[in-house]
Amino acid sequence: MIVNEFVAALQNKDHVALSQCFTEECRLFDYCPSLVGRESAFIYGKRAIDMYYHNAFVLGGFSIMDPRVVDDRTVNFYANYRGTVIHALAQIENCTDGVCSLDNSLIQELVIRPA
Amino acid sequence: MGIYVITGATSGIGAKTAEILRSRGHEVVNIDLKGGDINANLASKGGRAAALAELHDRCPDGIDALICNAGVSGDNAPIPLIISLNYFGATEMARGAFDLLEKRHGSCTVISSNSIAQGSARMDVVGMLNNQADEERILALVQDYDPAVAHTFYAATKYALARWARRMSAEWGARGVRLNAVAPGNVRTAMTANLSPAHKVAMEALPVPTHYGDDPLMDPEEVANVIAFVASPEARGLNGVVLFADGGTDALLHSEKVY
Repeated sequence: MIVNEFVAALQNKDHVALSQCFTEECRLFDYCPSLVGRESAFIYGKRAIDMYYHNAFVLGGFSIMDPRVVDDRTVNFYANYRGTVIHALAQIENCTDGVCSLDNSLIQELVIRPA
Repeated sequence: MGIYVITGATSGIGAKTAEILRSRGHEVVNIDLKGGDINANLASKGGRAAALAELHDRCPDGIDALICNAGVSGDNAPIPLIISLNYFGATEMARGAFDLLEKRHGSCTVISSNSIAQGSARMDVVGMLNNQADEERILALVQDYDPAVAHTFYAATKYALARWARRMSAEWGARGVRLNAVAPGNVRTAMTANLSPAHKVAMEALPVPTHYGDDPLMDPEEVANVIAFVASPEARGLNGVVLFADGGTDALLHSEKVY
């Protein structure tokens, strides 16, 4: 399932693998940073995801802890923003196979919110 | 044709800017530590005073533009030098050349850095530089700081420089002198050629979108052309602007920062 690949990429801080979970014309929104005084992230396109998370993993102090995959579309985890931890929920809103369960499925829309 | 004065134009972005301006027929005066038309140490008060005196002798009828480009990185310079050259070497030169700029309704462009958007600048130092710019006291304060955190002081000087330009631009603009800042991304220069492995990793984590999948460093020409434009009369509508010439890095990391 694509959600497992998404989680593995986050855990490994692998920005390239993370971007490969997404389609060319995708979007990823993350509303959690606003809770730690940062800008929320509104990222469009897989290359932008690659670059954004390259920065976030290396300079932004971003990582995740204790991910729990809830279902094909949802993962519950602790998002660590340079030492401040937010309990977060990532939800795949749309993916290419419609149900997000096929091996070749890719994410079209994903939103991360405070849990 | 105009008279363009550039600090730090012996190499890097400054040299490329000078080359572009000369190719357009302008006279360029390079003020640098070595290899300049005027050789001076802009990190010292004496050096700045000498450079300004010589500049006034050379250009008594005024200048069309001053580009304050001279600076050192946070990777290879002592913290006091970062502060004295990057901030005071720019603001004091700009203040000292203001009368020459006013004579020809010229422009002043200071070179900041897109590192100001990374949140790593020491804002206490930024405040001191902008609000109580006592060079001797600030240098005395920072002389014993760990050089390992020099990059936070580098970002602080560049942040303060951009904010100084914003603060001064209204008064200067009303007197006929435009004042802007250009904030380059990571550029292939002598400054970035010998970075430590840790700083190289950090630099590559500031991706340049227009260079995606390619050389992570911008060419000096990409920034120099922007500087030449901002300094030119064609940009007379620009005043008090901090223009990011970084291939889109700032927009990537701060897309919501519209104003």
